[in-house]
Amino acid sequence: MSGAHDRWDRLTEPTAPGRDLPAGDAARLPDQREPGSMSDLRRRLERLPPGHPSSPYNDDLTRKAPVFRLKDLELPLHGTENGPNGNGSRTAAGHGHGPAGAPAPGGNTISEGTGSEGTASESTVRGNTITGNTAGGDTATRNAAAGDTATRDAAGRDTAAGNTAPGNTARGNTASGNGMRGNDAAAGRLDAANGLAVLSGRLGTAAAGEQDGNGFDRYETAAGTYAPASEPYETAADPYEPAAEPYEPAAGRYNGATDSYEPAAGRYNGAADLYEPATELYGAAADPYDATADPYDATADPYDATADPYDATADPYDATANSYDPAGEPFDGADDDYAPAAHPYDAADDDYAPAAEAYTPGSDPYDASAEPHRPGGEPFEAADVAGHGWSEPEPGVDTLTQAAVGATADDGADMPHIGRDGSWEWNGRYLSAEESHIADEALGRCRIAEGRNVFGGYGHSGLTPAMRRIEAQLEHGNLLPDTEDRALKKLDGFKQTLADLIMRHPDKSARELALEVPDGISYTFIFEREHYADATLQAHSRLKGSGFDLEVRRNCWDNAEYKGVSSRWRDPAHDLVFAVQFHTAASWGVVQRAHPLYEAMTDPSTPHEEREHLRAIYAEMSAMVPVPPGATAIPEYRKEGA
Amino acid sequence: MPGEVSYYAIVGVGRTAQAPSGLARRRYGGADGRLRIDEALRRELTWEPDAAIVEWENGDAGANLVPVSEAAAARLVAGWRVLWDGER
Repeated sequence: MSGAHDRWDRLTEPTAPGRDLPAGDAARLPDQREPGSMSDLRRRLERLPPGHPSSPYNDDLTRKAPVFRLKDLELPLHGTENGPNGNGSRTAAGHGHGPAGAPAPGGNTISEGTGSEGTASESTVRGNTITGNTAGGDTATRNAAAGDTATRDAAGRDTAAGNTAPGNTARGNTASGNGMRGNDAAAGRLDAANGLAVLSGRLGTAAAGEQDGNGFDRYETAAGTYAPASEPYETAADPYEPAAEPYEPAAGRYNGATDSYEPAAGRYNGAADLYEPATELYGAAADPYDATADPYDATADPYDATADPYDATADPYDATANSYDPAGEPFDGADDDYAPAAHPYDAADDDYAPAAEAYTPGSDPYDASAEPHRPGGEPFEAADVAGHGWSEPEPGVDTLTQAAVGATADDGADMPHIGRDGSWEWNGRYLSAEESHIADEALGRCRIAEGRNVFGGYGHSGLTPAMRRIEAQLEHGNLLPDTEDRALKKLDGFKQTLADLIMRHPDKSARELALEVPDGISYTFIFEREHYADATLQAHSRLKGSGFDLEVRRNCWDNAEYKGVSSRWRDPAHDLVFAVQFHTAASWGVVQRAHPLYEAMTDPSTPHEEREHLRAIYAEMSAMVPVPPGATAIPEYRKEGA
Repeated sequence: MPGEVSYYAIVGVGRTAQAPSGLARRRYGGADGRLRIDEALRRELTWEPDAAIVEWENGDAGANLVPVSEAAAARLVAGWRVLWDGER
């Protein structure tokens, strides 16, 4: 297993590049450098993990193509360096090695540089090619990354050259000097947005395949403008995007009109895709969830035969059932009331709908009889379920103050109580008004980092789009199909976690702890069992390559209860932590089914005897989960000081 | 096992086992002495039921729990007593 550890070690040592420097590079790196000098900067870049956007190395440890120097790509000033015909005849000084700089016969644009790529001559860039790009747009840019396809693009755009404003020629001119495939494609975008020709050379390089978009898509997405520096994920995850194009509207994953995620339209069509392996798994003779062989079937259910929480009809992976049906998460209902506040512009929040439904007896995995079970151990009252609340107040009751309203609401289902002073109370946890406000602010930061916009959709920036891009790069496995709904922790869940942290970290302030809630934002990858270990490693590599810092990894495959790998990462752009779990379909299925158990287990008010009982049941459920090959060899990790 | 108490330093971000941000303990009770009773130290210097150990055992990627001796735990409590009493 030392080999496996070597691979993981290489990943988890942020200061170790994980490869030996080429002799030439090492020779160029003296021991003593003046801080801030070019050599110092170069040395620091060398220390970045391979695949990092600024690292000179790709994920596979090959060296990236040299970056173009801006001075080689800058535009000529008006009135200078004109050709005989008065148009820009500046010969490009890019990295093309061909006979660049021949004046364009038509006087339109200039250089005809054949690039360093073997096929670059096919996509010889003429000035008119560049100018034609204004019509090229998206397709051109994407095709550029595809290499030979870009050649066709270039030809196509040649024919469109006549449509372009003369002013573009100078830009095209500069770009063409690179003489690489796709150069022209990228430049079209830039043309359209005031011609940031400086960038086009780099884009061309990307199209040539070596960098393959490191910086490529960044500019594409920005629609001709520089991407904001505060959106590092665009750059970070770009290298693989051109090939996968997970956000390609034509692919159907995203609604073009609203830019919102449409699970049913694309590769996450229903539960079929992701859970197909699970179906196979469960359909096999050894299927632990096979209804006919279900170890948790009605006859064996220690709780209630009529309310078997593991009944096939309640299986969240049941094709006939709505995956992750809120009705299957009985303690989630209280979040409903906060849905509008949390997503004020998101009409899609209907899934948070009826709180009453979440508490219907049939949805309770503990007991389907009329005695649903609270995490705190006390059974729900009938008034908890229905008929509570908003009836006419008793005479003389103050109905105007917040306390009065809160008290009425609290009489009902498992809902948080907001005090007159702004304090918060729920499930035996309490936050003062100030602490509650701190939680609001901290979750607000998470919301921004997560990436959902005010319209409820996603653009290119943010953690969730970055995670989707990472997912698209994986050879095996997927994120949960409803990742967008799960990524951001619900407000009351966040406050509950913060309240627990405040109690158990008495030597830390609430403000510090609010930034340490590990799962304010969280993601879950599901891998096939046979690929689990390698896929987890690959996902780590992609996450690191996207600029995220691993802080903690817990390998729980040897655990009696929770099985899987959990990890905590830091998003340096937002200085926030987020959680990533790595599961198989089977382990995730148990985590889902055992969620109410876990909630009760971790509720401080649960009696010790009952907690032991719940843990035993959880362990019994988890014992049925097959451990993937190599999973137990995944090393634990904790960054110093994390 | 009955009567045995295990102590854990709760090490939050930026802390160490020598300077943790909290302290948890597990006692064993019940008729057979196998009942796990988990508690954490509160700012009032009282031990209250807490799920920090259970969560840590179940893969929580938050604070680290580091086993410490009873003597080390006592020193931590004494230090906090001085610190927090001074703040009150």
